[in-house]
Amino acid sequence: MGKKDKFALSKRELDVMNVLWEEGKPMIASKIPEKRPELSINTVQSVLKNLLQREFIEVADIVQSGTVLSRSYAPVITPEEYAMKYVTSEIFPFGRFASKVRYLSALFDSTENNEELIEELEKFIQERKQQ
Amino acid sequence: MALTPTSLLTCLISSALFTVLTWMLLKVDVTLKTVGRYICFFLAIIVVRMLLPVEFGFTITLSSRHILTELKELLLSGVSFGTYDITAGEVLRFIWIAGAVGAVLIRIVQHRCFVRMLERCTGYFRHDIRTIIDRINKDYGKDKHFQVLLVPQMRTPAIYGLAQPKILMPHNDYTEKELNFILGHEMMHYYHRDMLVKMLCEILCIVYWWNPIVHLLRKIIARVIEINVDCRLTAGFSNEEKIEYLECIVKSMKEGAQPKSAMMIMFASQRGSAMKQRFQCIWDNHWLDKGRKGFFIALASCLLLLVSVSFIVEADYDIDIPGTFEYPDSETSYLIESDRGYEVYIEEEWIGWVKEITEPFTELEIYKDKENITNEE
Repeated sequence: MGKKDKFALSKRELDVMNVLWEEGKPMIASKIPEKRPELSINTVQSVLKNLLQREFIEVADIVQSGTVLSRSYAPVITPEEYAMKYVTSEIFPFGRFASKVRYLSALFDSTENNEELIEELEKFIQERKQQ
Repeated sequence: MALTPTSLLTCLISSALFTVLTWMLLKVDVTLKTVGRYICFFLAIIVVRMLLPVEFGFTITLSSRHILTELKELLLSGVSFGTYDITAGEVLRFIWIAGAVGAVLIRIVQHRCFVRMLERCTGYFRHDIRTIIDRINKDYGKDKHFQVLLVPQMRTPAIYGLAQPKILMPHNDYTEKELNFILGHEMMHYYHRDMLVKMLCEILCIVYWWNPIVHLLRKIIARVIEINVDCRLTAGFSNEEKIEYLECIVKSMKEGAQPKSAMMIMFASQRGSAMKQRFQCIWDNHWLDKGRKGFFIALASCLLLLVSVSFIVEADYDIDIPGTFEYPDSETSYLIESDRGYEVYIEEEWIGWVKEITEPFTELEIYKDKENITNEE
């Protein structure tokens, strides 16, 4: 696993971002705990402040919520951009070492070249399409 | 129940035979068409047998003078490490345990790193994923919550987790229909408890880390699990839908090879003949053919298991040991002092050791060694 990136989101921040990403449109703070009951409104307010400061979200609009006006927030970064930028650690440390033994079982397989195999499988599909 | 070197050896030999037999059966398309999913029974008995390398009260012991005697003597031969004298068998046992402990530690570290990495992953929000999951759950008559995560390091979709399942999606741009196939496939793995089977295989691989047959067994089980899920999922598909499903697998494969892991089941991780066979099975779909075959194969599997635990082969030595002896006569019987007490000779023939001289040996002559007897004579 690589060194933890200090600019990556904390668990709570990621929870709030996930709600905003899932919703797909700007949300006001009070709506977020409705989607994730484990997040209190105080936590959400504090997390939103952090996210705003770190420019992960922006104020999209000022909307009327009941009798008062509220800010609505929208993510600045997409989940794909975030993943590519911050989730960069290796999946399996010692992967190569641990999988050495598994190469033994690969001896029992006749075709190990992935490109050749894909070509064969595509040919299989084409033949079935023409039937 | 007792765990002995020979019970372990018998277990290893029988499970190796069964594994190779299953592997050969899987290689033949005709067998796959006729017995198909019932191969699971064979696999189950192999796993059970490997988890029970013991001899039971009803186990019959067979004697063999071939190989086993030499092997036993080799294991009992002494090895010196400085001032320590141990047997070759003890050295092998130490290497075995150390290897297993090492394998466990590697997996624990890998698991922790993997979980930490997942904690940093965002959700997967393409094509109204929640609605697709709810619809598939409804089709399966279940209501489990599945978390879907975007994991850029993944090349192919996978499922992970026993209690709180997570579906891990790569960066690929899948269509809504392809997502239906992928999620349906991964969720079926979860509902069939395939993760548990995978964990069980992993335990076997840790315990028997040095045994290539166990790694072959894991590979066979992974292949059967995938074919089983594919065939169940595509059972009601039209030919056009089957083609779309196969194209979805190829699309996942094109992203490149994915590092395999014990922690998850992947959508398109197999290579070579396994993948070709998977395609053939999806297209033909003989896997779910019903009939009495299942009953007979299950019966045969149980009988095989019973046979494999009913016999054990022990090393036989060329020593004839009578069960009873004549009462010692002081003329022809005597004792010789030794480190273990006294060696007993009756009618000039060595019988065994005694620690103390009690009846019926009190009347016998005691000698320092064999030479003393000759001198006195």
